[in-house]
Amino acid sequence: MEVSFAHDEQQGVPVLSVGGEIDVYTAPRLREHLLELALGGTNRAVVDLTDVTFVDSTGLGVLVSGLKRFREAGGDLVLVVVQPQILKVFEITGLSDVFRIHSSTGEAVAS
Amino acid sequence: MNAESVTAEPGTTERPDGTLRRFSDFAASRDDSIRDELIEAHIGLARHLARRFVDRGEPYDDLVQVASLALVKAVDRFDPDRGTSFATFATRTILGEIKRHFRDKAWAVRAPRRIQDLYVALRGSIALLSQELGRSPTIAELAKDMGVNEEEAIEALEAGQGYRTTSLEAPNRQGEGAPLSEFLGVDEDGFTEAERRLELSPILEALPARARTILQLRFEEGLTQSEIASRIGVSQMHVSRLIRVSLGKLRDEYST
Amino acid sequence: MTDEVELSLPAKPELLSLARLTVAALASRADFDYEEIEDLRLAIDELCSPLVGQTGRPGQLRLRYLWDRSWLEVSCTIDDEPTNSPPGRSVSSTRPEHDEGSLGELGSFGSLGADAGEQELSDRILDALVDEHGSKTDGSTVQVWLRKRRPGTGP
Repeated sequence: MEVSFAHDEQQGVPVLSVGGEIDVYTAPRLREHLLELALGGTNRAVVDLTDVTFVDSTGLGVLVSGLKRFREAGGDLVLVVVQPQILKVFEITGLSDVFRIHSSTGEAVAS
Repeated sequence: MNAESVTAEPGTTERPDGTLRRFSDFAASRDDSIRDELIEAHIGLARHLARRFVDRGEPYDDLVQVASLALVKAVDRFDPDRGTSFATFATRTILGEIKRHFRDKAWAVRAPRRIQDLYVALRGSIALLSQELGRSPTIAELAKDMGVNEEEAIEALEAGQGYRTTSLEAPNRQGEGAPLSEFLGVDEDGFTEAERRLELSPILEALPARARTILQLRFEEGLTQSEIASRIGVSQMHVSRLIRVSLGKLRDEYST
Repeated sequence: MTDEVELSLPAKPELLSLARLTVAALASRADFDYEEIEDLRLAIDELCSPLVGQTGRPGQLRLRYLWDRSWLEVSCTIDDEPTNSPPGRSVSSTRPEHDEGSLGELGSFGSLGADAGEQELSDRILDALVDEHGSKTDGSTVQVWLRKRRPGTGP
């Protein structure tokens, strides 16, 4: 229900921080923000899901779309996931093997 | 665009991220290091699935092992050309193996613990009554002695089939009702799952070690009291007394 | 021996969080632990979101939460006028738009495109988190359901 977005940059890498719940209602907003990220000029970006408390298949689908866009451009969209329950969703869907997932923004930016 | 275009069109997804692509590599090379990598990449899935079943009577470590082995199986068998994702195939394989594990375990447990314990106590009762009556007791006599109803006594005997004792192999058929030996069957190696599990019965475990040994020698191995006496170095009378007292204890334990 | 709670709310995506909240409250009372409660929140979401879709539906989303000693069961349906969508497929057709084939290329999914890819994610999530789940169609009404064993109640 409550979802928040913040755009930032660390060491030249754009970082989109997301907070709250990503479900069928809020996923379109995530999509817009990912689009914004993609139009930012670089082909590498980080999506920080540290403060995300809920993500469902709709949210995953939006992230996968974003990933595709970045990888097609020869770059990558790297995730930061800290909450075990969120990481679990990526693992049970096999997406933890598709995305590069880090446990801190610092790591993600440097990778 | 579909999965085939990953390899057919250069420039789409050159980076080695695709699980499907690594499976194709693995299928071609059967390289152990790729295999290990694929297993490791999905071990989280195996653990999550195992964890779901943790509250159902099986230890987590066993479940993780079952799930991990199933994951290895899935990695070895997955066909990337088939159209489903590996997550789908692996989930099905792992869940299937976990459920099979429970079915196998359920097979081995033929009766709930309560019935197992009743069986132990009944055995004691059989032995005591046999001595007192000079013949095998009937179900009615057993049930009365134990303070349970006949159905329960029969259920417990059926669950614990397989004990060998000299007093029961050659019943004196005086008295009413069917001889107990009819309820008992012995499998090839002389033991059944029930007997092995009796070793774990908390009631038996509460007995002092020597008493437990004596009961096992008497009822599992079918030794006579004299044989037991010479084996453990006490008098036969002592063995007789210990058996009597222990069986009495077992019976008391059960009925509280 | 079965207790039951019925929740009826407008079939709008912004209200799905209510369905999640309710299952969390009931799951807590049914002795599920924290992780299982989170699992059920996600499972209920995966179950009901396709019925509601990104744009919502006219009418009510009806949820029935049932529990007995061993199971928690939730079923969900839309109380609505029959739509033109065929039963079954209407579930995946309500997913948000995506680039065609966006999931197929990544190699982890089948080649069928976004809807099927997401439906597959949803099924994988349900398979992993609950013991049983399914859907039935009754004419043009779709009913979806899931069941999860309560803790400590056997295999």
